[in-house]
Amino acid sequence: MKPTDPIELFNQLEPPTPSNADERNATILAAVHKHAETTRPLRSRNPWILGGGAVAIVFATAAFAVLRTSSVSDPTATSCYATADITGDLVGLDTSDDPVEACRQLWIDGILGNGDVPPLTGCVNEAGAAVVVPGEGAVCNRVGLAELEPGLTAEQQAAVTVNDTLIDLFGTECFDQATAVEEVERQLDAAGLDEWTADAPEDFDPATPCAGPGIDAASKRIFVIGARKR
Amino acid sequence: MRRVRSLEYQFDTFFTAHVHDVRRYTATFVKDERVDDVVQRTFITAWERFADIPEGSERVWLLGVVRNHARNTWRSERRADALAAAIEHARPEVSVELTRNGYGPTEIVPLMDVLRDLNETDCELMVLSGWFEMTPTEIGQLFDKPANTIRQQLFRARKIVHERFDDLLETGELQ
Repeated sequence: MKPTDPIELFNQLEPPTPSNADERNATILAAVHKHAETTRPLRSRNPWILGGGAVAIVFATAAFAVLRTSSVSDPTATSCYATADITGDLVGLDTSDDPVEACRQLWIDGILGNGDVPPLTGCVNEAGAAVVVPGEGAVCNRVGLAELEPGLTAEQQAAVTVNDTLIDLFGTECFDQATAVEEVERQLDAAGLDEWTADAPEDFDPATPCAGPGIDAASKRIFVIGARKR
Repeated sequence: MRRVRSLEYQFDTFFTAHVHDVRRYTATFVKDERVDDVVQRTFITAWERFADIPEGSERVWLLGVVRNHARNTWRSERRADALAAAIEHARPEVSVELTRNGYGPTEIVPLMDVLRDLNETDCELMVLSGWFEMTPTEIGQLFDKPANTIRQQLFRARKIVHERFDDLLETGELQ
C-alpha cells in the first residue's frame, strides 16, 4: 500500500467556504461603506510592508526609518521580543553594539513588560538579524534560532555608522532621489566600504520626495526610499 | 470619452476580487465566530490605505494586513488550534471516503496532532504554500524575508510534518 503523504493530505484538507459567506461578506462590505462615509483613503504612498498595523511596536525616528525600509536579512537590526515567541509582539531597534543591553533598557523603561526585567538572551534568526528574547539557557534553540555571537564585524560596524549618519542627515534635510544616492555613495567611499553599493529600488513618489535610508547587509547595500517631508 | 470610476466603485471591485482569499486566510488564524471581525478590520485598513496598495501585489498586501490584525487581536488563540479546528470542521464523515484520494480519519487524526505541535510559522508556511499555492517569493514578501529563507523554512516544516506524522502512524500514540 502506498504510504500516506501528509503534505498531500494537508493540501486536500482546506476548509470549505461557509455556505453563508456571501451574506456575511455583504454585511462586511456594508460596514466598510459606513466607515468610508467618514474616512477617506490616505493619499500618501507609504512603504506597504507594515500596512495594517503594528505587530512591531516601532519607536524613535531613526529606528522607524530603518525598520520600514530594511529587510530582515539586515544583521544590524535588533528585534526585542516580549515573550520567547518569535511570532509575538516585538520592539524593533535599528543598530546596537550590544543587542541584549539595548533590549534590556526597553524592559527597564517599561516599554516591554511592566518594569520587571527578565533574563534576556541574544539569538540570531535565519536571516542573520539579532533577536533578543526573554529566557535563559537554550531559549534560542527552543524558539528555533541560533545563539548570538556578541559584536559586529568591523565592516558591519562601519556600515552601521554610515547608516546612522544618513539617518541623521536625511532627517534634517530633504534629499531628492539622485542627490541621496550620491550622498550614500560618498559616505560609503569615505568609510572605505568599497564592496557596498547605493541605489534607490523605486523612483520616489511626488508625495514622498525625501530620502530615507535602509541597510541590506546581506547584499552589502544601502538604499534610499521616498519618505514624506518632515 | 474617458470614464472615471469612483473610488468606491474601485474599492467594491477590489473587495469582491479578494474577499474570498481574505476569508480563507483569516479562518486559518481564528475560529469561525471571529473571522468576520478580522475580515472587516482588514478591509477597513484596505480602504484607508487604498492608494498605497501595490499594484500586482494586492493579495500579498491584504494577507499581510490579515496577519497583523489576527495576531494583534486574538493573540490568546493559538494558531495551530484554530487551524486544527478548521480542518476538523472540514474533514469528512468517518463512513464516507473523505478526500479526493480516499484518505480518512486514520490519516487525518494524526495529521491534526502534528499540526497542533507545529510552531506558528511552520503552520503558516504550510497553509500559504499548500492552500494558497503561494511561491516562496510571494511568501517572502508577506514575511519580509528572502525567498531562499522561506524555501529553507518550508523544507524544514515539511520534513517535521513528515517525520512526526510517520512516527505517529508507526507508534499509534495519538493525543
